[in-house]
Amino acid sequence: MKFQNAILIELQSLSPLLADLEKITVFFVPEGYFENLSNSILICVKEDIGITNNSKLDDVPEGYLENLPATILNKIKAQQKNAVVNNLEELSESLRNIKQKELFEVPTGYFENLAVTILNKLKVAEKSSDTEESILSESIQSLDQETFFDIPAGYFENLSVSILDKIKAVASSKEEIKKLSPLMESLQQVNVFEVLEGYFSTVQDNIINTAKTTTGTTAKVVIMPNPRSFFKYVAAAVITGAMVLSVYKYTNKPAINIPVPALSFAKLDSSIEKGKAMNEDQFNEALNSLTKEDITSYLEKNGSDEDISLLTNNVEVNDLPSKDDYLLDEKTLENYLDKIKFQN
Amino acid sequence: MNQQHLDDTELLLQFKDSSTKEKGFTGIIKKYQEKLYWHIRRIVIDHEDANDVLQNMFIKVWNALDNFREDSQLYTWLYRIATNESLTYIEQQKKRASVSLSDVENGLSNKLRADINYDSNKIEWKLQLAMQQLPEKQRVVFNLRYYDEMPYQEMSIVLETSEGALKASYHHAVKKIEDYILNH
Repeated sequence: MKFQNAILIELQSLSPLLADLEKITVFFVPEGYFENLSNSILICVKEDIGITNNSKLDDVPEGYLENLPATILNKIKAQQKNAVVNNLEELSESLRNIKQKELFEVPTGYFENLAVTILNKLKVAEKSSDTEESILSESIQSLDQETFFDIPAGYFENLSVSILDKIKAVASSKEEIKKLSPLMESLQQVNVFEVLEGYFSTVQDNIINTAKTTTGTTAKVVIMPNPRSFFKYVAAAVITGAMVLSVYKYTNKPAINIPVPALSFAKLDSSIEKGKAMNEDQFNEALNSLTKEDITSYLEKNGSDEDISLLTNNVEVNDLPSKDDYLLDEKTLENYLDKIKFQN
Repeated sequence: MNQQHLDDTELLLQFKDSSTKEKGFTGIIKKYQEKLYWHIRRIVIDHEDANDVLQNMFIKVWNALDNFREDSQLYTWLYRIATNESLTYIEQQKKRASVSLSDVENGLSNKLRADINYDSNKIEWKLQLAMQQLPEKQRVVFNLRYYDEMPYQEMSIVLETSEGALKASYHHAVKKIEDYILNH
């Protein structure tokens, strides 16, 4: 035996020893084996598939093949029935012994007339919808078939005409532009704006995704200025100003010419000037910081009957300090009052 | 007409025709019997075993040839059946040997040594013993390439293995056999 060239070259590269070996068959084969092999195999094949020379194909009863399907079906049903009985026997012997008797009674001729009854009902139902409604629901049948929506008078009569007019209007506008300017008419069909490819197919998803990413963060609430509240503040300021002016005017009196030491007058003026520059909180704070001696000395110097009456009207008697705290003695008060009368 | 010289297509047509089925089948057997026999024999060693495997193999061919799609050559299809039958037979023998307590070691090497014509000094017997050291599939690869000179492409169809894997397997087999021959 000689190798094909390629295989020989391959074997020589792998193993020159094997390439040089002569391919000798060491196995022994019985004489005539291959000559008889095919026949013996055929015999084996025929034995395997069961084909013999003596097979009789004519021994088939008459009508066997025609009745075969029905026979098989009956056998299957019998087997199923037996299977149920056998299963029952396995499950419970007591159940098997119970006679299969129907306990429920059925009217005479029920099954014979059943098909006809159903058909008649169906025919009756098909005849009129009233009948169908009465069958379905009596409450529905009792409802008046009224329409609850109002429509303009002559709506349906004029509907076709109005639709046609609209169609004509569209057609006429096209004809109009065509007559005026064929160039303009052609331009209408040209879309100059470009849209990114796939934009409309993805815009919905983009919106949803954007909305999802921004959820969870509270939106900034911007309070819009309310014009009505502005007018309220203006009105309050006007009223307050009027009250202040009236009070000021009522309490404003020419100063009493009491000879005051120049230094204290200058001092007083600066205090007044300072008080004018103060706001309410600052004024109250400064007032609270005054001592009793400061107040009494001021009243002695600058007090008037009106001031006293104003104070007394606005001051609760209970809030006043006790006589012992307020006055040293009665004589001091009398002297003070006399002094005030003399000065006025 | 000598059936052996008929084309595979003609033999298949004869087989598929019910009137000439046996004639076509006989022609196929006669055309491929020796090649397939030796392929099986080199795997199972024993003649009786090879005969059993060969007959079983052709019975299967008889049953399956009607469904042969002819997308591969007939002889590669036959080789594939023969290889599978041989390897299955060896597996069955191994299982039988492991179950049966009376069998000491019924290996294929012993079968070779038990052959009437066995001569340990002859290199061709050493080659056979060296081949028995290979795994079954590797042995099949070596047989198909060395004895049957089958191209790797056809071998891949027979053994349902990639050509690269077959090439590697053959190269390893050659090296192993050479080492065995040199060292024994």
